[in-house]
Amino acid sequence: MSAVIRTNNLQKYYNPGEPLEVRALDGVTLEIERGEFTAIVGPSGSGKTTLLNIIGGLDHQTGGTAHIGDTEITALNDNQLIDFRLHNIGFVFQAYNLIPVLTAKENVEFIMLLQKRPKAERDARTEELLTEVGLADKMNNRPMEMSGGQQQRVAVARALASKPQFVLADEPTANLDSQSTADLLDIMAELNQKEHVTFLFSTHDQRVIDRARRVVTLEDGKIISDVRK
Amino acid sequence: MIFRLAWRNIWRNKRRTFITLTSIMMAVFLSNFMISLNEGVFGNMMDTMTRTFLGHVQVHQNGYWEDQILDNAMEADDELANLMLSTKHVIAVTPRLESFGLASFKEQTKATQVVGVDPELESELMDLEKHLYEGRIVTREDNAIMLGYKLAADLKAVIGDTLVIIGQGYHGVSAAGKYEIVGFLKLPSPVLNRRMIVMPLALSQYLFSAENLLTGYTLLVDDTDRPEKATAGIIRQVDTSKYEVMTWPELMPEMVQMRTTKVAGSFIYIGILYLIAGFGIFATILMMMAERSYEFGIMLSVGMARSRLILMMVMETLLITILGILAGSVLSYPALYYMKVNPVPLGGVAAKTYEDMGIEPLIMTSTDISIFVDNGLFLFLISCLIALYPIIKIWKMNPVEAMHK
Repeated sequence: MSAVIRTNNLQKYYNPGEPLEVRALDGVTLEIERGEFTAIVGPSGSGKTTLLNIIGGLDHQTGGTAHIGDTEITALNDNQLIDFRLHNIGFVFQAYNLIPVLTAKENVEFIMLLQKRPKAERDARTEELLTEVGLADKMNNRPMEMSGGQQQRVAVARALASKPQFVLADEPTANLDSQSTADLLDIMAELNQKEHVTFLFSTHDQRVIDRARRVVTLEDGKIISDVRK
Repeated sequence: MIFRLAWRNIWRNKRRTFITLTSIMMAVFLSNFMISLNEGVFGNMMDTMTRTFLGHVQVHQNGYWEDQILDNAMEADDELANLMLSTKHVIAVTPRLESFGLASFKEQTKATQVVGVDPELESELMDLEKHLYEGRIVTREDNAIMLGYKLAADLKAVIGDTLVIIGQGYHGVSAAGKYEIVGFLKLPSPVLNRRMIVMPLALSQYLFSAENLLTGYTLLVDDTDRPEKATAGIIRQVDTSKYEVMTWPELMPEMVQMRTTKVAGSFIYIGILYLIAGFGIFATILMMMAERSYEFGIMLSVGMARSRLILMMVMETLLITILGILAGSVLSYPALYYMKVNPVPLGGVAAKTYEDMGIEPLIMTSTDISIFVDNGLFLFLISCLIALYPIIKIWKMNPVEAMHK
């Protein structure tokens, strides 16, 4: 197995050198292999979201490096990061993930449009992904016409539309009821097993932790445990 | 896709969009109305003054316009007249001899403007036939005159009466004559109707002892707003040390000044309207930016380039403005057109004020396309300035911070 994500002594300090210095990440070194289903856990303020943001190219580190495949993402500038994210990383956020004025189909297609993929490919891929997440019949519904769970399933489909190297999911079940959480986890687990899609979650949710095959625990910006089940 | 997103986004909050559109629409409607009214009233005045009497261009002997006395008259010159007529953009050339005199009938005496004209050549300019109010028009060989209908009323003269004109002729010679009144004119200028006497050119030259003399040639051109297009050609061909070639804005600078002052005054009012509309658009864009911060963060996160996001917001800003401009223009055009074809006559003090200024007492509008285009472009420009706000905000936007707001 090859590493999709590699961080080396990753640091993120706020107000460095000042009395109110905050060490959101304090030397995190981590490798995520292709096809892993990993949960980053820890209490609030432990650095989960910061770690995901830096790995996802949404935030800049204070020190250390992060590689996605062979690319040192921490060395890219803003424009390069936007392009890198578009082609290599799928995102699922907590809630309100979708563009409200677009239908489910258009939301999934959106990423491929940005990638300038041909229409036939876009149509086929959108239908395939929405069918995989069980929403083939909701293609023309706008987000406000769907439940929170359905919206998160569309977000998963959108995250996969660009055929990314991995999917980052920041507390994806935070606003979902039990059934919706179970359905979403089933879908992601199935995609992980069948298509070897790499998932990296940050979560507080025990139901997600239970389904993860690897659990990395952060506290005060440091990894305090890394358990493979 | 960007256009589709922009279009759908502006209808996300229909009520807000309608309020913004209404403010733009009303600003466009009212400013169109204001400018149209100015253009209508003053445009009508300028047009009637130039088309019916003053002409678009006049050619005199040098110094005549500064000191309008017969001693500054010029020799009639058919060659010069033909040269000017053959110049590009010139439609008509007519010779005139103008002076002042006292007109007397029974106990009434009035100061008048006596104009000697070629009745046939005037058909394209003063058009005596068209403006004949009563009686008949004079011919080249007549020993008769025509009066403005209000002058006739002031003198209490009727067709067939004989009028005495007393004045000063060429080189101080006294001018006096008595002439039969054969017609009354009703011109679209209150001043001319109250002061003007028209007589055949040869008769006026005889009256003022100004044989073969003219005070000038009056010209009509094909582009009223750009008479200099014609004068450029004339100046190249005539001896400018001998003749002065003047366009209508030079002939009546006080009118041009009055129009400029009026337009400048209305710009204050229009500026307030634009300010209200501009703040309406800005407030909408401000709210759209604030309430969609999380969404913009998501879009940037998933890989939408800032330039595309900026394009989308600029499109939204401009689409709202364009829709408002179109709605305002569509709403104002029929109203302005109706007032153009059905001018509202003024009465009382207002009418007198207009007449004293030499303007027909009519509330008239103009539907010149430039009114709609200029107003639209100005508001569009304001909108472009407002669009700088989303451009700067998105350019500096950090996706993580945007999603936290």
